[in-house]
Amino acid sequence: MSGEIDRYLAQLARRLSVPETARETILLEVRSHLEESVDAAVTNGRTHEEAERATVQNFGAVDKIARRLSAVHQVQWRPRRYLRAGALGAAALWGIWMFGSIPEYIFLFTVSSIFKFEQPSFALFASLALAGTPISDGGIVPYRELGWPWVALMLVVFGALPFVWALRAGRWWGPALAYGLGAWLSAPWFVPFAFGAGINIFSVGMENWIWQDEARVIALALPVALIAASLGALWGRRQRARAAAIGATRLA
Amino acid sequence: MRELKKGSLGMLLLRLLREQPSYGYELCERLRARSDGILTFEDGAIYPLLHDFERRGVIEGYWEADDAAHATTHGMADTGASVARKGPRRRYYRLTAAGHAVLRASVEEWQSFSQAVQRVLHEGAVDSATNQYGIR
Repeated sequence: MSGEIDRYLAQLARRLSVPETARETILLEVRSHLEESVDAAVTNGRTHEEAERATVQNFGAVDKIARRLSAVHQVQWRPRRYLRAGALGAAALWGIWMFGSIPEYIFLFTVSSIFKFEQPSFALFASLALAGTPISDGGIVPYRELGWPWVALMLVVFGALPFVWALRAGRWWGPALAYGLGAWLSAPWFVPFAFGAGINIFSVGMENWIWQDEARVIALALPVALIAASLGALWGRRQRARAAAIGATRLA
Repeated sequence: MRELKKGSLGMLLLRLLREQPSYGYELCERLRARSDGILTFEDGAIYPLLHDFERRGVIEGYWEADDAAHATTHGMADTGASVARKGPRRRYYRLTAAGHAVLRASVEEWQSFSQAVQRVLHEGAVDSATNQYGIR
């Protein structure tokens, strides 16, 4: 058995978003179905190639099947996963924040004259990397040039993980809460600044209003995680409703 | 018709599993054979339903024994066909006690829906003074 069926199964394997044990079961079960269907068609006089093509076509679009099966096999969340979600929230905040500073660096290295004539060195890049973290202005600087759409883009990227988790897992708010709290706890100094009462202890010469802007954006991390997760849960529920039989879903 | 089929597919699968444990391919063939080809659907559509039922405890899945998988002949209850097969093992499903209750409730719900539709169609026809479809 080869060709069409192997290709179909490879596509299905790539598109399935399910735990490993479920993936194995699904792929074996589908392979068994497809091969038996091909055997039956060959017995009825079709060539092997025709039989494979017809079988794969009759089985249905791989995207649709994978999406529905993925919706059924949601990932279960255990305590260790919540801790990991918190750590990922922190990593996402810092990573996106530093990534968000890239437009500023492009500006500094090209248009502005600040680094134009400076020899690139490890010390220069290290100091720039540090300046890109949430303990300095980093990702918030382009906000001054590009406005809220830039911050919104960073927040959308930040919300992608809780969205996907909620899509796959039954509980949506727990993982999102862990993720958002992880982000908050990784930058605890933002809290006083969010209320206009912070003391600038990190960057000499950095204005308090920049910290306040940063604090407002970091404060959004938790609500954004929760909103993204609730949207993911809604989307997942819609898919599961499609996957399940109407009557049995209501009654089970 | 498409929506009706989609909505009733799960109930029909449970009904077939009430008669005997079965696996995906066989369930598709039995559905087609019994409905004289009126119920056509993509074979892959049954797996999300079966897996969802299994997750809910409505049915129970199990792999056929190794020795049965590779050199035996399996009869197919409704089609009368039998297929000698060498290949991956089949995954059978059987109805659980909870599944029997779900099936019973689904059938009752379907029957009450179907009777309601029948009543509307029938009364419309009686009312009609102009044509057999009850459209004035």
